[in-house]
Amino acid sequence: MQPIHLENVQKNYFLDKVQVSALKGINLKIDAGEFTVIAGPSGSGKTTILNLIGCVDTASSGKVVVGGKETGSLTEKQLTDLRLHTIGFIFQSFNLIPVLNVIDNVEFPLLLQNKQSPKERRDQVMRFIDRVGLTQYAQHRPSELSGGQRQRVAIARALVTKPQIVLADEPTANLDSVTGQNIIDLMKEINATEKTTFLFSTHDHSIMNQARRIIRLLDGRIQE
Amino acid sequence: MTHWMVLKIAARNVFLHRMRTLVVGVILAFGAFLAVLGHSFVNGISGGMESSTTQSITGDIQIYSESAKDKLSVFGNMDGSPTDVGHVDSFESVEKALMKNPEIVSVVPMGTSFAQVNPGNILDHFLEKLRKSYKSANVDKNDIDSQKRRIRFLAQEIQKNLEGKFEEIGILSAADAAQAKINLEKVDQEEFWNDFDSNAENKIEFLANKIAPLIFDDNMIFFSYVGTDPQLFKEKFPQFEIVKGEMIPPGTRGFLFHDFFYENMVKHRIARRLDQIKKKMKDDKLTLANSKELQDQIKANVEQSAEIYLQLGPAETETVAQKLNKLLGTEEKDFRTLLKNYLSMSDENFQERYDFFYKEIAPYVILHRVQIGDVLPLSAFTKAGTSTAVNIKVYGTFRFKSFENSPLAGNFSVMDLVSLRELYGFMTDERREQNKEIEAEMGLDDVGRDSIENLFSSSTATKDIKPKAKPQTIDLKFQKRVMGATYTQEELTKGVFLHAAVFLKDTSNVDRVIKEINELSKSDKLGIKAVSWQDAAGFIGQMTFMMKAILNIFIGISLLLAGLMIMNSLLMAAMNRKQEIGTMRAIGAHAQFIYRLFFYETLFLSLLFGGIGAALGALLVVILGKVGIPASGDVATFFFSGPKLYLHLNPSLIFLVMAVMVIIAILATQYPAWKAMKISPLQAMQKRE
Ligand SMILES: Nc1ncnc2c1ncn2[C@@H]1O[C@H](COP(=O)(O)OP(=O)(O)O)[C@@H](O)[C@H]1O
Ligand SMILES: [Mg+2]
Repeated sequence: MQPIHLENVQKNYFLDKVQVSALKGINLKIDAGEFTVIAGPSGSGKTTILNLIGCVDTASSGKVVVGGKETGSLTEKQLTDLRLHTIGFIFQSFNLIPVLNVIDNVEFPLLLQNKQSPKERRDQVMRFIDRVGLTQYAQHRPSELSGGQRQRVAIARALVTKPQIVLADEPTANLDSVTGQNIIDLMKEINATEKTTFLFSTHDHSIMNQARRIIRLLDGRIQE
Repeated sequence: MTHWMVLKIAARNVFLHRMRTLVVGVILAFGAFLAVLGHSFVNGISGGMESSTTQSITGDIQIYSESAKDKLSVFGNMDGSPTDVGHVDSFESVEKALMKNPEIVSVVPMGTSFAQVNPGNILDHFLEKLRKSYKSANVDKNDIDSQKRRIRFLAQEIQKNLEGKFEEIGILSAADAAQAKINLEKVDQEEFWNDFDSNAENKIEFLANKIAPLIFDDNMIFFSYVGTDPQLFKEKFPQFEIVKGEMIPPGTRGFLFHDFFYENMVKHRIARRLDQIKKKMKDDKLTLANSKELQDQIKANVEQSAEIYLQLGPAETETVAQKLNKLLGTEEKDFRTLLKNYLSMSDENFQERYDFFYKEIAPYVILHRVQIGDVLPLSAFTKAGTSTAVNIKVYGTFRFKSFENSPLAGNFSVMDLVSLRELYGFMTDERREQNKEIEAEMGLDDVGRDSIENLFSSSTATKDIKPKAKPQTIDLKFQKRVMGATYTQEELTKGVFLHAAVFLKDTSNVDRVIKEINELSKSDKLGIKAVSWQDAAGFIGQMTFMMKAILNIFIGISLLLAGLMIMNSLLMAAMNRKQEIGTMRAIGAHAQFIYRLFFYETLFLSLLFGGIGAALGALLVVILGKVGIPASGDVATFFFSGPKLYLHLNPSLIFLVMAVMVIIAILATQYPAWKAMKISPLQAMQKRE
């Protein structure tokens, strides 16, 4: 069973009563442990697809199955739980909680899950911070970190719950190319060791070529 | 677990947005400060009013006739008019029924009313004495002559007083002024006095009607009194104590002035002002140089110097003049100028002149317009519309311990209930007959020692009065024998009463016992209804209620403002933190989590700043509880139940204030939190601008 399965998915937006078709019938299956990139020019629908898979938006028609669950039939609460337990997010602009330090930011989803003892949680948090190489910055606030460091924190936060799927919408767009490459390397490494399914978008050719599978989007359709 | 994280985020947000936090915080702190201070203040005032009311007149509960026309208001109506509360027929049966209730400790029967007494001015007083002397069995010619000389001297003083000022006195029309001038001249003539003895009645009448009113001196004493069982009253109001004179003996009709009233309203006005100035200088550290209030009192004394010189005879005038000149180091011939100079006191000479007044002047003037032992002619309008007069002996003055300076506790003077009934027209026919008989039997023969004569004769003989002469008391005109001076206890308890004070074991049961009394009255047909002391205190009770209401409105407004500010700032926070909130939602935070985030933030704010405000308020209350807030002026003295208000900190008030803060936090959070809950996780994906 694939962790991600899209069937004839359409997404329409309305802008001043004018209908914009962002996705025009998407069929897509992604296997567990894949390291997949969604490529395409700006406006092609990358973000829209990721939002649907990330359960933060709903399709206009078609079927979206994430982690074995058909999202269209889930309530708002169930969708939230699905996001919490199945998906890890890495955002383009990092989206750390500014008032929390690195430890607290990484711990945040674990606290929401509330499955572990404080000790277990702390250990796991420190392990992941170590994994992204930020142990010495553990007590720092996001504002005291560089862009690359922030995105590493975000990666640690996305991975700390050991999700089935990690989604990343243009994770390197706000980073210089060297730092961006480091982030991609880190993601690849984790994909290799943890077998987490990675799905990320980019319009940067040098980055998309490093993926094992590339899904090319153009104007709301897959070009594969 | 998430609570801790929420609190952490909330607290950090509070510190991160310092400006916003500060603005909201200051408003919240101010609200809490005001609430603690204001409530302690109002509680201090109303507590003082409560105890000075309940422990001086109302007790915990008041009962009165069920069919009363007006609501009971022991202090009368706002406009000063008395209330008509009807009466209840038998005190004994009501008391018996009520005492079955184990909560009720005692019942004290009462009737409150107003009376007006005109002790007359000084000429009235001399004339009355003269009239009695003529009627006396053994007429003493010398005595009468000396009295006449005294009156003639006074008439001359009055004439001198009005000279050139007739037109200025607004009370007299031009025609009256002209007539008054003629009358005064007539009295100044030798002829007027030559045939005085043969025509005494007419002459005295003339002087009383035409000359006495020219002493423009409002001598009316207006006071409230409570008719009760004096012995029971003394026992059940444990703060009661006699100050001057003695307690009304059991079974005897009698009257006790409240000492506060006696010293303030009955005392010679110049003496009273001197007392007040001295007290203010000592207690409030005021000085004549700096206090407008004290300066005004000195000014009033100078203006009313007639209250001294009209009361002095020729010899006394001369003696006092000599001593005054010596004191002031002057050789002023005109006594009135001399007196005015003396009364214009300053900080340097006040104490010396104050002592001088009591040593050299007070013995010759009527220091209290009514004296202990005098008989007061009280009159009241009965319900039938006729005026009944009762003569009642003043036995002394009393006060309530620890409420010595409360005008509220000093509102009522005390007399026996039997006399009150009589004033109110509740006399049995039998009693009325009896009184008539006694009256006829006795006639008017009791004159007593003639102290004026003593003063006067010594002055005609020699020019120097012995400096150490004992102060002479001057009897007032109404020294008559009292009618029906005694009553039996049975008579008192069996008869009617207007209302009664009920004392409880535990004052917190007031509402319950009121209900029980009213139910009992219905089932046993007692014909009474019970009200709380607040209701019985009428506008006084309402005033404490109103003060609380006004304060609460004020606090309410400031807290409402704080609530709105909090709401507004949270709303802005929700809008500014859309991405952060969206991120939390995307990562897996439920809407409930976001709600809590906002709630904890306000809770933190309100507890922190509410706490600071409440603590500051409490601190100030504690300090003011030690130091006391001085009352400035009579109104403040009235509200403070004394010259100083000592605040008391009620710890539960702080909890209450904090609870209110939490409620505000909850209310102010609702709308912004709801807005924040609606923020979509999609907001997390939006690029940062
Ligand atoms: N909220 C929206 N409202 C209206 N149109 C939208 C909205 N989001 C995206 N679109 C439109 O949908 C199409 C796909 O957008 P998007 O998925 O953001 O593309 P990409 O991420 O590849 O740049 C674009 O034409 C865009 O204008
Ligand atoms: Mg995009």
